[in-house]
This record gives sequence, structure tokens and C-alpha cells, in this order.
Amino acid sequence: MNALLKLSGGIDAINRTIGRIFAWILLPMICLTAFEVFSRYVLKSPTVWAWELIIQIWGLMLMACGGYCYWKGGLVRVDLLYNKFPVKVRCGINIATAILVLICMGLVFIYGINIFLLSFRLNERISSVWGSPMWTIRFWVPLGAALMFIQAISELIKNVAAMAGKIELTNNSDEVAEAIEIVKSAEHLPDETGKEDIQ
Amino acid sequence: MSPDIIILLLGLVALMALGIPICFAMMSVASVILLVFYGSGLLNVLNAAFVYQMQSESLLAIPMFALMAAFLQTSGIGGDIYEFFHKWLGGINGGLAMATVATTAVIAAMSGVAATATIMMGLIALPAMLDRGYDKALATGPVLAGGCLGPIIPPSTIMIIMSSYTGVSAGWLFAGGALPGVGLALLFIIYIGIRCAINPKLGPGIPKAERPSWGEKMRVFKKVIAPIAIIVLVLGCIYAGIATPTEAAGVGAFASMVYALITRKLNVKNLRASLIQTMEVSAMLMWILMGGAAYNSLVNITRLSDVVAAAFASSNLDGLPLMLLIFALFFVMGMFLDTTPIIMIAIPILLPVIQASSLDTNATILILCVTLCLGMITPPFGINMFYLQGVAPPGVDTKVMYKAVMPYVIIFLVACFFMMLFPELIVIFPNAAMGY
Amino acid sequence: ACGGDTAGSDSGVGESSSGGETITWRLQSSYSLNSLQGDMATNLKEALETATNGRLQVELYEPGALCQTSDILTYLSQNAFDCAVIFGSTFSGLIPEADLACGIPFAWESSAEIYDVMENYGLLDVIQEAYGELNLKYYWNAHEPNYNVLANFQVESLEDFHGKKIRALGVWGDFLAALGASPTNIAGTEVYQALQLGTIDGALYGWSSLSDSNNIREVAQYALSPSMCFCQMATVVNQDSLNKLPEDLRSIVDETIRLANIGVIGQAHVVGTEKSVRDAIQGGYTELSPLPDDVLAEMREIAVTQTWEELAAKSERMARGIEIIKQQNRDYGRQVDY
Ligand code: NA
Ligand code: NA
Repeated sequence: MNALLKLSGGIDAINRTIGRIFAWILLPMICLTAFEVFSRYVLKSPTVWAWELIIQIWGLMLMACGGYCYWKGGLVRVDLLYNKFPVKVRCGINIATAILVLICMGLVFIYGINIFLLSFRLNERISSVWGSPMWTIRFWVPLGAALMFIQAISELIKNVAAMAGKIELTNNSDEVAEAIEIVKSAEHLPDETGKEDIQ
Repeated sequence: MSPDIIILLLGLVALMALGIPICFAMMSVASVILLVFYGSGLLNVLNAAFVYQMQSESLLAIPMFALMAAFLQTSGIGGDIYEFFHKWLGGINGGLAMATVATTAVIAAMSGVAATATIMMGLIALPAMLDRGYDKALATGPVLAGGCLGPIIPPSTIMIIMSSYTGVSAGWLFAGGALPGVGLALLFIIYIGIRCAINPKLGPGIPKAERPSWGEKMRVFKKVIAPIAIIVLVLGCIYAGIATPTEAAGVGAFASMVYALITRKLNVKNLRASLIQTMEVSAMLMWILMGGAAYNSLVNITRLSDVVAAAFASSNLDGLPLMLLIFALFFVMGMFLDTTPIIMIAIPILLPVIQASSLDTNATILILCVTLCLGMITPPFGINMFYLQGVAPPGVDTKVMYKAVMPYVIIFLVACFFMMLFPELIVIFPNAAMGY
Repeated sequence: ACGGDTAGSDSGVGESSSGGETITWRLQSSYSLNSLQGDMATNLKEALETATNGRLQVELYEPGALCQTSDILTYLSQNAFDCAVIFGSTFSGLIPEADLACGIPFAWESSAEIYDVMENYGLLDVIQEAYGELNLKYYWNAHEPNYNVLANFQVESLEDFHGKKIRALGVWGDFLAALGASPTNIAGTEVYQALQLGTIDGALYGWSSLSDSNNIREVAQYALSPSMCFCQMATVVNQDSLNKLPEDLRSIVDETIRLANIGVIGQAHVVGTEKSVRDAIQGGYTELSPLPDDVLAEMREIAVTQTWEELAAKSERMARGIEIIKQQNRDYGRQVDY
């Protein structure tokens, strides 16, 4: 069990790191957009490559960060009932979820690799003037599925262990608490400006 | 009904009710039906759903608008705007509550989602009102209801997603949301004014001696000019036909990043936080959308949409009764579900019905967008209440919140009925804005 | 929308042939089923079901119902569905020969010419060889008689193309780039909004899109004329789906698709397009804007010397296809050697 938990910890670390690194893709994305809009509307000479490049890296970010969202528990669920269930039932639901994810992502991975190989073999391009590779985008799909797949393995291990009473489930994400934290850290409020002015 | 359709409907409901993340619930139902009922070739539609959503240029507006809001937030704009309205309106009875609504309306115009405004106002405005002796319910209501304006007043994530699902232009929906959004804000303010005029104890105005001078009032004004200019620029670009929503959003994000840099509010730490926050929001949404696209394919493959369309056709429902029925469906779903899943589950099935009916598709979709926003404050699952719970001062509990939102739910319903009765009125502005 | 078309085929579960020997095919259209171009799919369904006496049922799918339009060939080759109605240039990134089949700038001026090059000059063999590598069978389909830019600008000289943002697919994008324009590759469904918002200045889009169901005429002031090529749409069928049919049915299906395309579907589309263009002009929506003769000649030279050559350089098979088109043009007395 310990070895498995170690594996689970390793998988968590992988997806956590990937998520935190790939989030930076957003920065070139907005810079490229601003650049493209500037060259299109101000310089009147749009590039043939900017949007295609943006779509390419946006797809990469989405797929690469799926496993992170799963790890984080950031995927939306209807928790009216879920929150009322005892811990063991919740573990059971999480185990069922993990198994379903293994099936889905297994399928997406196998079929995705197949299509990627076909696309790669034919050197498929996006049918545009710049004609950047299409097989990259086709590759993001099995890549994302694989990261989701290994995260499901990790969740499976953690929840089985928690059910057996070996570990306690920790919550990586509290959507509400985090949103609040971000607003608090961003606003120079409420103690400084807000109240001073009122009094 | 064939077994695949039954699994498609009931299986999804069961998995979601158990609390399985919605994107996985949709993908699982799709995979299982394909595995059991249809051969292996069709399993490719799962991949197709991923590639399709990934390449959608219009959905790219989601991270861009999220980043724009994150950067504006970093530069402290929420506090500045509230300070502005607070200084200008604080003297009136109920003025702080009105300031809250006005602030949420402005924040709504910079943010695509509801969370920002609710949390911000919960932190800043609610304690201030309670300190001033405002009635708990009267103080809480505007915070919750104001948050709903987020996705009604453009830009709006809900409308971007709705647009990608229905083909109704996002720009049109944005323009269409502007008047109902501002109208609702005004109705909220009028309601607060009337309540407090009848019973000033509910929201006493700030005593004369404590009110800010004109100099102070002007000083705050200057602080909010630049960010508001960015918002006006972005929305203006969309309506003037200069840029697509996605392009405008990208420019807005870039401009607000530069603004945060200039005002020296941006550092590596909060840049990183903004990026990770945006990545989480957009990756999560996109995975739901990919699951939704897979589910959508199954709605087509199993011909569920035909079954529903046939049922509606045989019922001879059309016009206002049909509109009311669809509205009721969305209202009830909104009591239990988050906005995006409702779009993904209901729209593929109902869109053919709407299009085949005499209803104006654009107007109907616009009304449904507003209905979805109402769902954010209707119990038992009202996402805005969860956000507020996290920041609410002691004494503001669920009971207070339920009591607080009721008048606003009624105002919302009245507004929705008005829109349903006069759909030809609500399309005038967006049609003009888009040059239809 | 798609409900009405298929109300007859109530065999809800795909290929289950428990009762009779009815076989169901899934067909995804590249065009909205409500549009003039969508009629190609609807007509094909009708032709196949009639010819096979109902033994083959065709389920129609809207664009994007099973996969996005630009991915149709990929997923068709993977057996995700059985056949599709396409515009070839959408897929030139996957099959370069798709451009040749679809029509390249200044290649053909009438349906008869396309028929001639396909059947008599042997271009069809070249195309089918290429599609065959993806396990697909290519049938040429209805013709798009007018292929030129629907624009919000007019052209006096080649300079007028410079910097213009024009939607164009495949080889047509390369050609417009060679003219100095800035081609963009947006989906057909987004053309209306992009033209309206001014995101693009024009769209290279078959003039069947001027029909009132597409509404493009509301946002395109001019139609640059004459047509730069008679283009053709195609029906593409997964080879496995064909092979799986009982032998007698297979030959009926094969023959029906071939003939329906030449006959009913092809004619209906050309006639429908001509009517749409007439309506758009008479209704005061869109105005014909003829390209000056010298500009046209320059454009032809650029097409033949640059665009055609670039295509020929892609592969041995592409070179073969281009040579066939050149030979045909020579035989018709048009300049191809500069
Ligand atoms: Na908004
Ligand atoms: Na609700």
C-alpha cells in the first residue's frame, strides 16, 4: 500500500507541476492576440500565423492541465447529495468516478493515438496559408487523456486507502475559499481603504 | 423509447446526482452507450469532441475575459469603484445598498463570471452596511442579486458558451444583455429606494457631518477613469464592429495587464496567481464543454433530439406557452445545476424545437441566458450564496440569504415575463448594435 | 430542423439488422441541412433510399453533429460514419489532391469541362487513388458554378487585392496570398458574421451561399465576376461501409451515387445557385462587379505560373494531376505556357 501511495504522490506531483507550468502559456497567448489585433487593425497587415499559433498552444494548455484540474478537485460536480454522504460513501463515489475515467480516457487515448499516428504519417497540415501541423493538435488529445488517466490511478489509490482507513482524504480545492483568497489578496481592502473612508 | 436514449437521460441524471464531476458523467454516459450499442468506429466521436472544442476560436474569449478581470482586480479596481459609489450615494437612505448594486453592475461589465462581484461586495460592502446599522436581509440582497448581473451585462462567459452551442452571435447576445442587465440593476436600486423610503431604519443614510466633500468625490472619480476606459474600449470595439469578441477580450486582457504594470500593482507573485486562476477556470470549463460535445454527439446519434422534437410537435405547443414551458424547465434546472451544464444538457435537445417554432431564436436564447443567471441565486443550489457564505460576517446565514434574495427573484421573474411577452422589444437594441 | 427529414427512418438503433436486412448509413453534411447546399445531402438520401427500395436507410447529420467539418475525412476514414458531402479544399491539408478535385483557379469554365477532365482525361483516377489511401471512395458531386470573391470592395487593378482580408480555403488561400491579399481560414458558418463585422473584407465562397437560406447576400455588397472556376462538391464514402454491403446492393449504391451526382443533385444545385444569384441581384442585395480583362489575364498568369506550379511540386501524383489539367486547358486553346 505504501508503495502505491508513493506512486499516487508522484502522479499528483507530476500533474500539479504540469498545471502550474502550463498556466504560463496564457501570457504569450494574450500578447500574441494583442499583437495580431494591432497588426490587423492598425498596420493593416494581419499575420497568417498568429491565430493558428494561439489555437495550437491553447489546445496544449487545456489538455495538459486536465489532470491538474482533476487532482485539484476543480471539476464541477452537483454536490447537494454528495456533501451529505458519509466519508465512506464519498470514497465509493470517487472510486467509481476513477474507474469511469479510466475507461473513458483509456478509450480516448487509444483512439487518439491512432488518429495522431494517421495524421503524423500523412503529415497533416491545417488547411490554411501558414499550414502549421495538424498532428500536434491531434497529439494533445491522447496527451491530455494520458495525464487524466494516470490521475485517475492516483485518485483510485487514495480513495481505496481512505476507505480502508489508511489515510485521510485531503481537499486540494475549495473553490469558494480560493476565489475569496484571490479577491482578498488583490484588493487593498477591506481594512485599509474601505473602512477608513467610511469613518 | 429505445434503451440507449433512456441511459442517455437517466444515466446522466443518476451520475450527476451522485456527485460525479459533470464532465466525467457526460463522457462516461457517452462512452458506455457507444461501447454497448454502437460499434467501435463511432467511439471516434469522443476524440472528435475534444478536437472540435479545442479549435473553437470563439471559446478562446473565455480565458481572455477571465484574465482581463483578474488583472483589473489586481489593480484594485473593485475597491475603487465601490469607494466611488459609496461617496456619491452614501448619504441617501439605502444609499450603500444602491452603491453595492451600481458597483456590481460596473464589475459585471469587466468580468464574465458572477463570483467576482459577489465575493468582492461580500468583503467590502456587506460589513460596511452592517456597521451602518442596515437591516441584514436588505444588506445581503444586493450583494447576491448584484452578482447575477455579471454574466448578463457583457462580457459574459455564459453567452460565449451559449453562442458556441446555438450559433447565435456572441456579439448579438452581448448587446442583448446590456439593456436587461442595466434595467435589472435600476429595478434593484428603485426597489431598495422604495423600501428605505417607507422604512428608513432598514438602511439609514450617512449623517451629513460625515459625508465626503466635493473635492473628495472628484478625487475618487479620477481613480476609476482608466479602468473604465479599458472596459469601454473593449465593449466598444465589439459593437463598432472593429474586432470579434475574442480579439477584443485579448486586447482588454493585454491593456489591463499593462495598466496593472503601470500602477505598480503587478508583480511576479500575483501575475502567477492570476495565470493559475485563469488556467483553472478555463481548463475546467473547457473539459466540461468537451464532455458536453461528446454528449451532444450522442444526442444526435441516438436521435434523442428527434424524439423530443416529435413530442413537442405533436403537442402543438407554440408561441408564449412554449416559451413559458422552456423557461420553466430552465428555471427548475437552475435550482439544482450550475449554468454551463444546463446549457449543454438542454440546448442540443431544445434548440431544434425552438428553431422549428414561431419563437424568435435569438430572443429566446437571450431570455434563457438571463434565466440561467437567475439560477445563481435560487435555492437550494445558488452558487452566489456559496460564495457569500465564505465571506459573510457572523449572523448572515442561509436563512437570511433566502429571505434576502426573494424580492430580487421576484423582480427577475417579472423582468423575464416582460421579455417573454415582448420579445420584439428586446431584439431592437442588439439588432441595431449589430447592424441587422 | 433535422427532425423532419428523418422522421421516416425509425430504426433508432444503428446497424441492428435483427428484423429485416435494412442497413443504415450515417451521412454528415458539410452544409446546414436547411440550406441550398444541404439539399445535396437530402437529395442523395432520397435517391439512395428509392434506388435500394428502402434496404439502405440514410441518417443525415448536421455539420458538427459527429465531428467538426474540417475533420470529416479523418473521422470518416476511421469508420465513425459512412459517408459525407464535402467541399474538397477544406481538406487540402490532409489530402493535397482534394484541391485538384475541387477545382483550382482558372481550371474549368463549365460542368462539361469537369466531366471531360474527370472521365476522359483520367483526373478521377488520380483523385480516387489519393482518397483511396485513406480508405475512402471519392464520387464527384454537384457543381458550384460561380466561385469568386463575395466582397465589400471592388477591383480596378491587382493593387486592390492588397491587404484585403478574404476568407479562402486550401489552394484558394495560396492564390489570394499570391495576389497580395491576406487570406483567412474561417468556417463557412462564421462567414456571415465576419463579413458583417468587417473582420473580413470578402469571402471566397460558392455563390450558392447567396441563396436566401444563407443570407450572405445581406452582408456582401459585390460579387466579383466572372467565376474563377467551376468547382465541384463531392460525396465521399468509407470503403469498408461499401464493402460490407451485400453484393447486389453494393453495385446499386455505387451506381446511384455516381449517377445522382451527375444528374438530379448536380442539376438541382446549379439551377438553385443560378436562381439565388438572380434573386440577390434583383433584390438589390448584391451587385455584380466584373474584373477588368487585363486584371483577369494577370490573375490567370499568376495562378498558372505560381499556384499551379506550387501544387505540382507537392508530390509526383500532384504533378500528374496538374499536367492533366494543363493538357486539357491546352486542348481547349487556353494559355498555360508562359
Ligand atoms: Na459581465
Ligand atoms: Na439555483
